[in-house]
Amino acid sequence: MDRIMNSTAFAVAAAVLSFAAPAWSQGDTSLTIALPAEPADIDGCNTTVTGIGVIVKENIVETLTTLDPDDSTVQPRLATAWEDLGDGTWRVSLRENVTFHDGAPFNAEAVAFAIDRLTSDAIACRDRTKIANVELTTTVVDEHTIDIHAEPAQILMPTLLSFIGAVSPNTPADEISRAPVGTGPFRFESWDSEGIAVTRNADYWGEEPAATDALYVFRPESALRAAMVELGEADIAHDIAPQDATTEMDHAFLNGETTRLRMVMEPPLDDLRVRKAFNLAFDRNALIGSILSDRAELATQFILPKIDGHNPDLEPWPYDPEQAKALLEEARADGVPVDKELRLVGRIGFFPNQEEMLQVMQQMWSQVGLNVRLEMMESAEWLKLVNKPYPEDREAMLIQEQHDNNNGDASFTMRFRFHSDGRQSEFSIPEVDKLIEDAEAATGEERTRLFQEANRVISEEIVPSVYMYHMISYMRVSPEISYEPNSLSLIQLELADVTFD
Amino acid sequence: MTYYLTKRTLWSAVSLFGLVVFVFFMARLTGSPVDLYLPIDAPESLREDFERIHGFDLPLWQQFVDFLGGLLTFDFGQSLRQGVPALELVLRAMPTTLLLALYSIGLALIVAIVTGALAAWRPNSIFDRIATLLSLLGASLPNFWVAIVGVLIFAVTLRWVPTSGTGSVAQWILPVFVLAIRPAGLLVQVARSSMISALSSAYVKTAQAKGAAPARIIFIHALRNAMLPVITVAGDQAAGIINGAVIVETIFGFPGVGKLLIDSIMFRDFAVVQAGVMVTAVAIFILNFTIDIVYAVLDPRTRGH
Repeated sequence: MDRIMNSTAFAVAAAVLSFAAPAWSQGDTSLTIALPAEPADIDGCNTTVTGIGVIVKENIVETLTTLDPDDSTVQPRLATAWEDLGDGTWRVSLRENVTFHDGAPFNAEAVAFAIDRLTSDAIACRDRTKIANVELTTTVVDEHTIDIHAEPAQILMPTLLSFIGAVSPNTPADEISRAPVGTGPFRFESWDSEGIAVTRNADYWGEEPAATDALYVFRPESALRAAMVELGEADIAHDIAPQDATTEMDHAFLNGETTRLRMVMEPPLDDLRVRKAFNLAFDRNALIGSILSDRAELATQFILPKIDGHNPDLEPWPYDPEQAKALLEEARADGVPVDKELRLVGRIGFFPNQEEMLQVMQQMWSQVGLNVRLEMMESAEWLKLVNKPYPEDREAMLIQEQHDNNNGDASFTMRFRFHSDGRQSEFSIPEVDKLIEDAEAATGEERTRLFQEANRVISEEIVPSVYMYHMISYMRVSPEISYEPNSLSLIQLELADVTFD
Repeated sequence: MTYYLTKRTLWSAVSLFGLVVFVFFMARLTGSPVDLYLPIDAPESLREDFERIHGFDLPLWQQFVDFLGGLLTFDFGQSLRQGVPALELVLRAMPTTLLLALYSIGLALIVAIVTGALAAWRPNSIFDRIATLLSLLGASLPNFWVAIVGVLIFAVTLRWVPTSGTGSVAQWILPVFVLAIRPAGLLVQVARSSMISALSSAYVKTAQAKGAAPARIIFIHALRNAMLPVITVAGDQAAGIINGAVIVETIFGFPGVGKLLIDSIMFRDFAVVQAGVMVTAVAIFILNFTIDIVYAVLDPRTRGH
């Protein structure tokens, strides 16, 4: 009798379990990763592009160095050591006994090819953006040593090496590839209507990853991506909306992005008091934990605390509508057209709930008498407003921006946005120009100090922005696997970091 | 009839040509692909190389002449994103969308004819009222909402079907139902009203007087005559399904023309947008053409005109 009861209970339990977890099976080491959008290509020279890097970087194509996700320090990868020889030349030692997925040996010749291809004008590699205005030339010293000369000299050469993906010398030099060949722990398998498939590289030089293969699928709806993990159809749902992150499977992480409103300094925004009023009348804390994740952090500058040059002494603006009103009153008395209607231009698709966020800000500002009209734009339209050359009859407005500097150094942010010749700079102030130029030329503590000072002057004295938040993303991870997202996970998701419980 | 169809084909060719020319210029008004492809902080030299490689540095008139030259040989140019002929990409994706449209409109027609006919048999009955309410609801619910709610109910809660993807038959169920709901809602209304007028006509009264069974009266006598307006609206709706496919294919990760068009518009892949619009327009033209022929078969009166 007992035996019958037991076996009945067992059968019922088995039925319940199989219903609850139809797609999971023991010993399954294949991964399915649901991403929001299908990339245009997956070339090893476009790995700094968000949707491409997340698939390719360090999975298929490895870079010479990598940056630590927590503190941005440079770590060896295919390069094992580097030394500044002076005159802009760096001697780089390469890892030995490494082969590409197509059997070609990884050596100094291969690195020279990868650098030539990356910088070639026959294909427009997007990673060239990270080494803009630098001429790289290479000299092969021996099989596993290469000299890389930069003109002008690059203090940040070890960081720049983290943008150089080693693609096989058999890669077409004049064509962007949709079938990358690198040295990574996974090799490209196929790209069809189902998605992009990779399999484990049996000849990998490093530690063998736990996953045997992975399929990347593309689903633009966050709720659907999240449901896929819940149902066992996927193991990782990348970048899901806060309202879908409701379970213990959902991990929040600082994603490296910072948001701000850029102010176009035409009347009335040419007046410092008005710009300060915008900052004082915005209750930043009110949005945290409601529209935004409770893990989002207030931004005081356009770079994250982990970036060299971030100034830790800057304080977020207090919420003080009374002081904002007083400043506006003072400006109005001086004839500043503070009642003018200003455009608040948002760009569709930066992050979830952004339109609601901008609406709340608009509401807060109307309470102190600031007249703002919200306009949401598609990216192509929005781009016309943010890059120089600006139109001559440009009017004052606030433009929503999101920026990620995951490159360890403030220089990747500062010149472009705050120096007179920066393509997105809204002002020309000799003091700031000099600070940025001096910082770029300096090293060590002096460099840090100068960038910090530049950030202080910009944030406290010039006030060209309404800095908002260091942003949070959510990733849903199946309980069948272990993966902890970090600040680089939006742009680089190493399959080798996934383990199975 | 032959004269009419020949004239129609010629006119359609002219409007198709007008359409691609329009799309050529409209697409280029939306901004340069350079801005979308390259990172926002890309240096000028990179932008110039990109424009030169892809021919965006040529004056617009020259790009247009090249485009027209290609059209003569059905060459829409290379896809910017994938580096293969644009037409090939579109033709590869087309069968998926056509099948999706076929299944959806087929499902919608079956539901509409049965429900509409039964509702018309006893107007204002409980069945009629419920059918009317549901069909109005179906006709007015937006696709994307139905799609997400459908996933939550049938995939997440009930676990009857997978959430998305392609490959198995089960993965077609949700997209087909989502696409069918809207045309089904509209067609129920059309079928119902045209059945009501057919059922009150003299030949139905004669059939009733002769003692024919209700099912025979509805489905044999009245239905054939009530089908003309249903076919007309179904044709319109089938064209609409290709629009709906843009949303549904994107959500469910279906490799059809809708998803291809959306991706190409997002990346300003002009060649694919042009080829996609052209092929879709031709498909809709063939559809209308077919409906005209079906019309002629169903209603002998139209054959002479």
